[in-house]
Amino acid sequence: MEGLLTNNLVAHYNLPAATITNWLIKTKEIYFEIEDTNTGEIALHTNRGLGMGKFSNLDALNVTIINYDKFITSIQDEPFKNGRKRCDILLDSNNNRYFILGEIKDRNILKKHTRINVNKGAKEQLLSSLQTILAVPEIVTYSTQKAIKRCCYFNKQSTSPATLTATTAFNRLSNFYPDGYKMNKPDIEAFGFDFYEYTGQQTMTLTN
Amino acid sequence: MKESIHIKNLGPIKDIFIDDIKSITVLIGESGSGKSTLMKAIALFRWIYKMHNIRSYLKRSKVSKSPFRFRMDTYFKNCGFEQYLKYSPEIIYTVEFPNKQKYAIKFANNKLSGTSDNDLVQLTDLQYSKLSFISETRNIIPLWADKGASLAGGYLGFYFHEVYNDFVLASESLKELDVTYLDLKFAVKKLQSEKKYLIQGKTDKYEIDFKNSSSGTQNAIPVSLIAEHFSNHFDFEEAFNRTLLKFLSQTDRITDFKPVKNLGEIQKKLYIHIEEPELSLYPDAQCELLNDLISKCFVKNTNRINLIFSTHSPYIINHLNLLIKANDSDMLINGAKISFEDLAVYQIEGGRIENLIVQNQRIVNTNPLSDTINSIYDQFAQM
Repeated sequence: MEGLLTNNLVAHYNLPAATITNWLIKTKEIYFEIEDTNTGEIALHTNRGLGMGKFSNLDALNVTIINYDKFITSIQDEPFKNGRKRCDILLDSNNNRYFILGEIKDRNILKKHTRINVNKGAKEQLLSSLQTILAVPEIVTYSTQKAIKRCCYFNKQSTSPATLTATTAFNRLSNFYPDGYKMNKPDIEAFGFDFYEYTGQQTMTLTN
Repeated sequence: MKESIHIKNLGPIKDIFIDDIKSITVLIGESGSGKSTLMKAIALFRWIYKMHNIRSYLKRSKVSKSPFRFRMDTYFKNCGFEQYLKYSPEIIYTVEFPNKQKYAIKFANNKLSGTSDNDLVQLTDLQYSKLSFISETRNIIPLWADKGASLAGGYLGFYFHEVYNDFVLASESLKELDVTYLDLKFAVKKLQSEKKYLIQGKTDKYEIDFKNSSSGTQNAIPVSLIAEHFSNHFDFEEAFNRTLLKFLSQTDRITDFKPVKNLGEIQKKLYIHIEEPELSLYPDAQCELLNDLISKCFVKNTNRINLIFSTHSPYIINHLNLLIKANDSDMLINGAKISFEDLAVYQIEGGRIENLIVQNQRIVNTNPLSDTINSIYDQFAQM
């Protein structure tokens, strides 16, 4: 998958060669969480509660997680990057099962200087990323081999002080539905991808 | 019968398409996002379609001269849409029957189409409907009812007078209404020539004028009263005959009138539109109001109802999930349940809509209305 970005995407958009390091994570852990760190890196955690994107991988699939945001940012072509929204990660499994675009939000409102439209922004980043990568014929060919194609929005829930139950109460619904919500998103579905929203403990399950 | 609507460039609405307006449609969104605009546009085009049906009925009953003309400039003014006209709004409202027969009413280039003699509704598809729009101005009703006589000629806007007229109509047929979720009773008493609206406590015995009741009561009573009236007491025959008489009296060819159908053979539909039913109510009462509304309109009803309401309440949206679950479990929550298939919930944002029905579960995604509470404690945690 990484070659499709560094070779085919770069060639398709006539961009300078990408020079990027430390942008891939490969894992076959049976449970992992992904964190989008404040420094623009992605981190893999196998302990619960440290990341925002949660994955169950009981069949121990070989999974590659690409820091797509970092890849786009590394490209030395300002007109290409200017205004181009990008999601955080691409996730690819070694079999022909999964092709996932992920946007991870930690809901750090003070950092983001905004209180609203977090969800909308995430969906726009996912859609824009789809448009960018699926303009590349080789990536289209690669993605059509995959059985499960999803755009996923991983939305961390907040916690309130122990004596208050407000956030717990408001977020209870997600506890009843651990597999995430598949939402209607025609713009994304037009590309043959489903849109899923994961909140709190909701976990994406990868299977063989 | 399936209704759809496509609206472009109408005030805050950029491009909204609803393919199938469900029996219960709920709209959420920030203030100014376009919830009321969408609801008013739907109500307006339902009314135009209603009038097109009446015209079709009269034409097919040999009344050749149309007793009325559609005046879109007046309707747009009533809706508060007149300033939107310069942005070339387009609205297409379509009704499709199981036999695939479609009727489309279109407003584009400042012109209405789909209502001419060539577009008459087929006999088999004729429908008589009643619309009610319960606006957020309903809290003025008690004061207006009290002072209305001294304010003869006063005008508080099209939607206030619509909801006021429906309130008066409902209070004439229902002299009393138990409002269990507020532990009170609404009563109408005639004192000589004057009509008095009263609130009576059920547990704590008291009686006060409606105008002196709490703001929550003043907002909730019109919702429950009108819903009860239209769901169970609305006299279609009387309304239909009154409508026919009104229009027939305006034509000098009344002897030509040869009714092609009786009312009993015509489909009947009631449409209720409510702006923020939960206004001024405590969270528990909001949920109970929703139970009451759903029970009246969809469980204990004798008339077929289509309900659209807007809300800002996370309690209302979360409560919808409980009512879906109740229906799936063959249970009632204080008399209410909602069939998942009959429900649509949309978030309006950036002039477009997003469907909040979860596709892989039988629930509504409540996250958009949980964001604020998460934001509050994110900020709290950082201090």
